[in-house]
Amino acid sequence: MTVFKSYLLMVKRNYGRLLLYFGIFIGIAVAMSIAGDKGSTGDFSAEKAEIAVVDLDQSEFSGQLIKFLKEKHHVVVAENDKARLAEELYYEKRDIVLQINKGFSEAVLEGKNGVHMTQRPGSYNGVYISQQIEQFLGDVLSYHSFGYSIPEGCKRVMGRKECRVTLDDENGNGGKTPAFSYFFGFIPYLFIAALGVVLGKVLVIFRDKRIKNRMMASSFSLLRQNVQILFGFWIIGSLLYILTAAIALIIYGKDLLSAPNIGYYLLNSYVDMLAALEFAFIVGLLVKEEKRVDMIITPLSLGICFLCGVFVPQQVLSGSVQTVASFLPVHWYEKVNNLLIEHAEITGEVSQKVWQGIGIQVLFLIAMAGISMAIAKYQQQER
Amino acid sequence: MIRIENLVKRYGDLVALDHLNLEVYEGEVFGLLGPNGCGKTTAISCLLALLKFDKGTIRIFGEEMRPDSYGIKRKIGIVPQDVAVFPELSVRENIEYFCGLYVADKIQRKKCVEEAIAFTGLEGYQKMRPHQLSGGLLRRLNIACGIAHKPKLIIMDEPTVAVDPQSRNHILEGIQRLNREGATIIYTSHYMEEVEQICTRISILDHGRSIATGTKEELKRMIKMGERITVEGIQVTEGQIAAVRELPHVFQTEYDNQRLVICCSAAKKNLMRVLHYLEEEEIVFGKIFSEMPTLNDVFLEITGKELRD
Repeated sequence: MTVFKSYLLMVKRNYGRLLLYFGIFIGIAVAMSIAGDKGSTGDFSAEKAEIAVVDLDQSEFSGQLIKFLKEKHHVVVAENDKARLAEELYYEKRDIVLQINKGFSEAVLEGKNGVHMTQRPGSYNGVYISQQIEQFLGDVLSYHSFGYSIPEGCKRVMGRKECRVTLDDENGNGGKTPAFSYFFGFIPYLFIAALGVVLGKVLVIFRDKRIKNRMMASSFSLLRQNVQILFGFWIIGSLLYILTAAIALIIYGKDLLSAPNIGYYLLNSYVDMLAALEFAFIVGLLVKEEKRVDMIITPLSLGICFLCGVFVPQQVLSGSVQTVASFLPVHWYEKVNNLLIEHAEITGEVSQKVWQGIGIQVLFLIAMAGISMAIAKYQQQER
Repeated sequence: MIRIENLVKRYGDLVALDHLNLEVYEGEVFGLLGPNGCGKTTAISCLLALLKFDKGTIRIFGEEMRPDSYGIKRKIGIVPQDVAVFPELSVRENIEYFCGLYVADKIQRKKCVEEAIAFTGLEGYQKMRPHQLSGGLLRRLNIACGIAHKPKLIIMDEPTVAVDPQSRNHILEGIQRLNREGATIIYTSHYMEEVEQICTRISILDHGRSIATGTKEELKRMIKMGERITVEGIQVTEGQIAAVRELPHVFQTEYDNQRLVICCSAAKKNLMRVLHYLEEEEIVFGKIFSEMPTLNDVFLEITGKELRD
């Protein structure tokens, strides 16, 4: 195992690079997990505005409107002190000042506007509240047109049950994106960049013409040399994979372990790691100087990851970009990953799509192995 | 031990080896001498089955050499022209690696590595990386990697290129020691002094062909010149130069910048006769000395050009 051991030793000498990429990856993945988690709760919170109402009409209808608003917002009935109300808006005590004009009831029945709304600069609640008032008044008028009195109409509108929203949790994620899915989403970057730079670089050293000649002149067969180098590749890749999975377990613990589709996440990322290994192998075969490996891998890994939807969601990528990306295994990795994010329970059609995505990645592995062999054979014949 | 017959290697239109014939016997230090580009490295590469050749046969230890002749390769050590070691590994790790390609047994390998380190005088540099070594030490490491597994045949392709005189002497002494310990050595160089110093038999290569093979004495006997007499600080007339050329065994004279070079065929008392003539003619001179022909003279006379052209 001379070649294998020395290969590992040389990789060990470059472990600083591995740690660097690992650090960057963990940082980005964890930051995105936290950001993603916050975003998902904020989007669905119900917000209440601070409203001051000046009732100049003092009618039953205006009273019903105030009652309606109180059910939805924090409402204070205020005196008609314009200077004070302006001050309250300025100091952000109130979001909106709603003035119910004298003759409000008559104006509404005639289809005219009976209120005046002033909102705090920078507040976006005005449109929302205005819609709520319009809706309320419109509904009361509808009841009125069917013969109900205004107070009766108001009662009926307010007595109406709110639409009940039920979450049809088809994917089993409880409507949330699991935090670890961001971690798995970024994995391709780690594998391509770290394995490409470190393993590719060491392979370039092994393939240096002078060293290659010396090894070819030895009694150690070319087949044994290649097998041991490939074994070294696989061991390093698998170690990185295990380390990555262990870090994911440490960070996400129970969430990850209790995810019903954890097996799919692990399988998908393992296949992706194998693809990254083959990519590193091809780079190692084609690049002639070890110094150039960095120069090639860094833009290439970033480019592939952008193109395939590692850094940005695949949904926002244009059709043509996705078509180009579909010729790369990372695209299919992300596709499977997205399916896993959307569906915790993998059954039926989803299962078929997941296996199809993993199968395509395996086909890429076979194709890349063929390309590597062809390059190696060509380089051998060149001699 | 090695028999190369009618070896032809072409790179497109360029004929690198043109029906090369060589025979190397066991226990000798065989020198391949020739100017840069004469085909020395190509011949070595074909010998090691690193290059496919167009025609001819190569037999080593009585067997035909092929890329998969691992039994033969096990007995061969190679010291390539360019230093071929891993920059990421230390001196000791490099020697262990290349020794490990031949010697599977761990204990035996350790012993071989220790001996190679001691042989090349790298004891104090074992933990250093190649980039920390001087040019001479790097060459020694290159040699240690090639000889650690104790090969019967060692092929050294210009191992002293770009090496300081001290390291060069160390390397040359080492090669002679390896030979004394039983290794057959093929040594390529374009430094004729080195080849003269250590090789028991020499083949001179030019344009991919062996133009002369033999011991250095045999090679020198092949040419007309047996002695070169140089007189410096001398002023002579055309008539006097013509008279010198008429002396017995003198076949050529050159006079330039108060320097007279007299080429004589091998004979006794050539110098005495020249001195006697100068005395008779009362010609004053600064310095006179006589030299035996070098391999460069052999090359020059056979090819019409200098070895270092």
